[in-house]
Amino acid sequence: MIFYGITRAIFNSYYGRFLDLARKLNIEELLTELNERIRGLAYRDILTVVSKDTEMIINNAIKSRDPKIVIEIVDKIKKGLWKPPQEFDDAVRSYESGVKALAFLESLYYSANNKEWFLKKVITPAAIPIVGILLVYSIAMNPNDIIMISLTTFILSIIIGILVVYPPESYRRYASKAVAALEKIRRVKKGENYYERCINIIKGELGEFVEES
Amino acid sequence: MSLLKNLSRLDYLLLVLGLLSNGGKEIVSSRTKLMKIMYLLQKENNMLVEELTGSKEPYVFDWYLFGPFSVDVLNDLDKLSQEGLVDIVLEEKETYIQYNYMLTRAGRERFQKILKEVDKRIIYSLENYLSKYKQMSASQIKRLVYRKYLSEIELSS
Repeated sequence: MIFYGITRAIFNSYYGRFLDLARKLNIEELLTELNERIRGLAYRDILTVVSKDTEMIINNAIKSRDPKIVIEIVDKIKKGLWKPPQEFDDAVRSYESGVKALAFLESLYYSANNKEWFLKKVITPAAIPIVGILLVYSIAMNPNDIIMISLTTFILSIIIGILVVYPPESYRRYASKAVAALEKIRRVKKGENYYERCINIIKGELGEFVEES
Repeated sequence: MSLLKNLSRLDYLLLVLGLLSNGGKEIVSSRTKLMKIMYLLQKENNMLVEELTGSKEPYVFDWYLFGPFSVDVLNDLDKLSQEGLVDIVLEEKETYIQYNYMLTRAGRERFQKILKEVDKRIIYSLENYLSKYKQMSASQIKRLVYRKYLSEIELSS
């Protein structure tokens, strides 16, 4: 019981808040929707940039009174030789970084979820044998001292508890940012641009990971 | 002394371009950078913008996946070019075309006229404010906008 309590407390300190927020937000469903929406939003962004570029091409042709300019540009576009404006790169990159940020948040969630599954399905039933082994080990180490037996068992329980639930490096580094993102998303009212806002928040909070990857 | 009348949006944009280009002596590089500066100016200095234009938000910025963007800024840049006040200087980069802007002679004259119309205190504040961003690259400004304002904006509406 004490061993399970210690392990559970350590688990909660690492994953508790994140999992709690993730469940309140129904994150699996939300991430699925965000992954679907991001493509449409990227399409809108790219189309905005492309239509502005097209307008510029047509305006230049009108200004120069030479329709050949348009024909030449269309030819270049067909051959893949037309260089888009800088905003096009921004739109494409922001789509890519958005997809990466969503995938990363998903991986953090599954990492936390898997640990919880392990804690519930493996550690809970194994708690009694584990503590039994620890107790035998403690008695062997300190045969006549009850206080030392209890202390050794307790310390070993903590060490094993930490080893069992210790999160991977990426989770340790970004969990607080993921929590910040989820807290912000909870405050976003559903309505116009809801999904876009969520994506931007996730990108904003997990941007450091996206830049590094 | 304050403004005799509010600046039109085109004059306001020309004023910013003039101050960023050291009175038209230098090129204003990167349309993306200019776009973000216009956004930051409205966001961080809306009182000043209001004194200049009569509106705290002369440009309506929408949030795209790549950050704040206003088609009106691009349209106004095109108008300035069509009126012969600004030259669009295209710079071919490895994967894209970068749009840079340079004040023409007529643009510089117009800029000087605007300077005379506007309170020196406002010009000084604006110049001082813009100097913060003048030396920054487009990507540095983009990062700044993203980190500083993303959450606030996304949650506010």
